[in-house]
Amino acid sequence: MEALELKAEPRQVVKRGIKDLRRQGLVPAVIYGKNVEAKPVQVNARSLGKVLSVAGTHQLISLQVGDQKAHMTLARDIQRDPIKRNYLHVDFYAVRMDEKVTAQVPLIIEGVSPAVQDLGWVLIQGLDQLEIECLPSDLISAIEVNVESLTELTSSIAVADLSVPDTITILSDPESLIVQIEPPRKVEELEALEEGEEEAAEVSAEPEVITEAQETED
Amino acid sequence: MLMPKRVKYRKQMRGRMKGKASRGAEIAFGEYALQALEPCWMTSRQIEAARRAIVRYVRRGGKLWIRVFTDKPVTAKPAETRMGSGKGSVDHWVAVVKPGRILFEITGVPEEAAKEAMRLASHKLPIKTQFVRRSQ
Repeated sequence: MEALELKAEPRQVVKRGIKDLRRQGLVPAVIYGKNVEAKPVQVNARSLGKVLSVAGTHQLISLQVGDQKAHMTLARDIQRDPIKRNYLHVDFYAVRMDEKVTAQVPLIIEGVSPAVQDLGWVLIQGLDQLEIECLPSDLISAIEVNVESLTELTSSIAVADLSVPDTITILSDPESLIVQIEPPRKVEELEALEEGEEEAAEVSAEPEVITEAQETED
Repeated sequence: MLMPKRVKYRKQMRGRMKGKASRGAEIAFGEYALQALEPCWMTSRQIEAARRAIVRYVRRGGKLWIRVFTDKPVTAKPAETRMGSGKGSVDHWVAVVKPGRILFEITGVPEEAAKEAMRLASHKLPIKTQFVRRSQ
């Protein structure tokens, strides 16, 4: 898989003035790795957004700092504003192409299950990404999960059922469920959901206070 | 009513709600979510009313997660009581919500249905909220 290209500039602003930097449309970042000295850099917010929307934390990014030779990196700790969703800071981890790396790869649901389409049952997705280990050049953009084979109630697809290239090792628990077909709620269950908790409210009194004696017992 | 089973202290100080949420601000379980845009003390009744609004609209199908829990006791003195003689008794329980906090998550329903369910739920809450999806 080809690496996405991103340009960065060395950053002089380290502590004070970071907010001004962000106001100018730049995002503070840092690059580090084995045999690569940690170095503060800054990248253009728009180009960073475009690259990270494709690459996420599982695709190689060729990061060129100034006029220096480009580093093959993986975005690691991506900090975003919880409301505006703009990028606040990114860690770029410089990888060695001959050393295995771990990455979280997204799972993409393919097709529509006949149980959902025809019978009205519910498809519940348990996992949306998998942890894999491989050489940086063998990284994949996504793993597809075809759900067209799910025709029966409680039929499911687990991590062990996935087929991935031999170069990739899945680190996630093989017994973890990715998708499962569940029956929709019955009318009685819905009524219980709508009314049940109100009754519980009347019954529950004040919570128990943990005393010192209880604490020592625990 | 949502409240803890056991507590270390019966009553709490009020505290402050400065800044944005740093935890619980990302979608963790579902596909769509309702996110708080303002700080507030959300009572267990408000959370329960919003939950009911979602369940009532979605009916069959879908899975719902409530991402806030009322673990803070709020005290009140009885009406027409003179000041003094200590702190009042526990009146209700609240969850401290900061801007950015994910309140409800849902999956297994089409986006339009999730959006409408969250809109109905937002009318039960004391703050401005926004609908968010996982891919954002």
